[in-house]
Amino acid sequence: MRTKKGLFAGVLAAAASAVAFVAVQSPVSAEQMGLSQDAQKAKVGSPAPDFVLKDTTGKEHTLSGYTSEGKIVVLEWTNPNCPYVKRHYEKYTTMKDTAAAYKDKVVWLAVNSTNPKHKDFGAEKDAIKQWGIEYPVLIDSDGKVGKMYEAKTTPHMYVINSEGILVYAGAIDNDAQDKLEADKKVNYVKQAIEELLKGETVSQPETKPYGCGVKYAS
Amino acid sequence: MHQDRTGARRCRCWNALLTRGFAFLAVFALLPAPMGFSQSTKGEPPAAVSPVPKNLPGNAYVKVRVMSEETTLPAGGTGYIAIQVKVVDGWHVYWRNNGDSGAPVVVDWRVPEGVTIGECQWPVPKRYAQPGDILDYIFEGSVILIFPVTVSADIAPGTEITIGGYVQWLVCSDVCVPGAAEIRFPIGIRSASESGKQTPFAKVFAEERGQHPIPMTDPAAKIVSATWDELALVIRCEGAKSMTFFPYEAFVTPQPKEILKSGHVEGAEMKIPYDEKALGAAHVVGVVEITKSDGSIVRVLIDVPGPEKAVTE
Repeated sequence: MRTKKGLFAGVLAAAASAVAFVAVQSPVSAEQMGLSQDAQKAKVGSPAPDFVLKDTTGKEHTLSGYTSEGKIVVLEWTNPNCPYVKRHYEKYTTMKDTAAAYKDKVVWLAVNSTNPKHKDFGAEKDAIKQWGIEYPVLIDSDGKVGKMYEAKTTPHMYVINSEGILVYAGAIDNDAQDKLEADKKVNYVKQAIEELLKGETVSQPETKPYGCGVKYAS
Repeated sequence: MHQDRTGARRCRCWNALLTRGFAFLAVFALLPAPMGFSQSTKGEPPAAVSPVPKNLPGNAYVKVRVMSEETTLPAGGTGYIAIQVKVVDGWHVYWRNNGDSGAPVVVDWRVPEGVTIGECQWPVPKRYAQPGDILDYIFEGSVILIFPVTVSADIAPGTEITIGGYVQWLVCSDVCVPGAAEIRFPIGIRSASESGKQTPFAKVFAEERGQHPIPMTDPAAKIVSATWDELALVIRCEGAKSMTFFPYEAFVTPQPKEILKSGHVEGAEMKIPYDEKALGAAHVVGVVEITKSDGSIVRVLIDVPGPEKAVTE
């Protein structure tokens, strides 16, 4: 569990990096520094962009706060009204099961980037109760974090190692059509976690995600 | 939800050698309610592996019907059937490559031994861009999917076979819901030496084929070229006013980068960047749809080997 000290350190670190970023930007243009607009976007193999988001209880979560504790972090883009998310919470319990299997080593954060004008906005309130979700569901209603991670679908999964490097981005599994026999299914997130825990490189760092589109405003 | 079923109209098609064939009309299938199997086991498809889910929310926005080009299929030859997917206004279904989100229309066929249904012949979709740089490939209104049916020479002319299919789709407006339908229809087999009789739907097949992409070897595609400039696929077309490129799905071809920007141009040349995964690929595939200055539309299937080198020395 994070201590207040850890939270403070995390917020301070986030603030410091934000200041540093601004300092780098202002006197010299981004292009002159060799940085592009994409500098903030998540890239497999690079440090995962930091963020602060509130969960449904109003509590703030900072990514670097978790990685600074040496935890693996999984980000799960979600929209409980999407049939593909429902598949993994109702027909199967893929997300909860994977989170539970590694709960001491992995911090699981669901993120909902649905914009406030969309029909699906707020669906996590009932889903958390109905589906018995115990990990935080972070609310990203202006879509800023989603766009930083280029989250396109729900679900869209990211795994960040304990050094804060993004090591996996893509689908939850290899079975978009839900047709494979159980022994042919591969849970890519579970696979990445297992490999990280064994000190191995992630063998499939990027896959094409499947699901409904994330409902950004613009 | 109602299920509307038209009966098959029998027509006797005699020839010197054989017995009857059957005319075939459209069969509407909204909700799956599988009919009992006929008594004869010959020509029956194997039973469905998984139960057909009923009352899926996506069934409210989609009607599926199946058509045959001719009233019979030739033993030892190939005939054509099609599935029409009609979508309520404001909703859409997806192409073979759904793009960033969504899921393609999928048909699982169940056919008797000696019958093979080949790959779907898809029309060209529309690009559908959503906030967050999400690009999908969709169909609105109606889409017709044509399938070749090949029949073994061992099936006796005069046999009636049953073709079964399970169609699944994701239909979306600003929300998405899944749907499914089961279809089954009888069709007769004729001798290969006999010519087929067209159904009233034959003209639909002809119209559709006129809008399918043509291969690069087709004389009408001579004006189109596709070459590599390092890792960029450069497609040019003489006299083009605008061009759009639709890559096939990740399963069959390396995927282009930045397709939202690079996949449509106003002009006669497009440069589509790929990454190193395209190097040495046997096939880089997609369809280019070109509107020429005279307003005519040309659709060409681009299927080229991947680039040899990333950077020319």
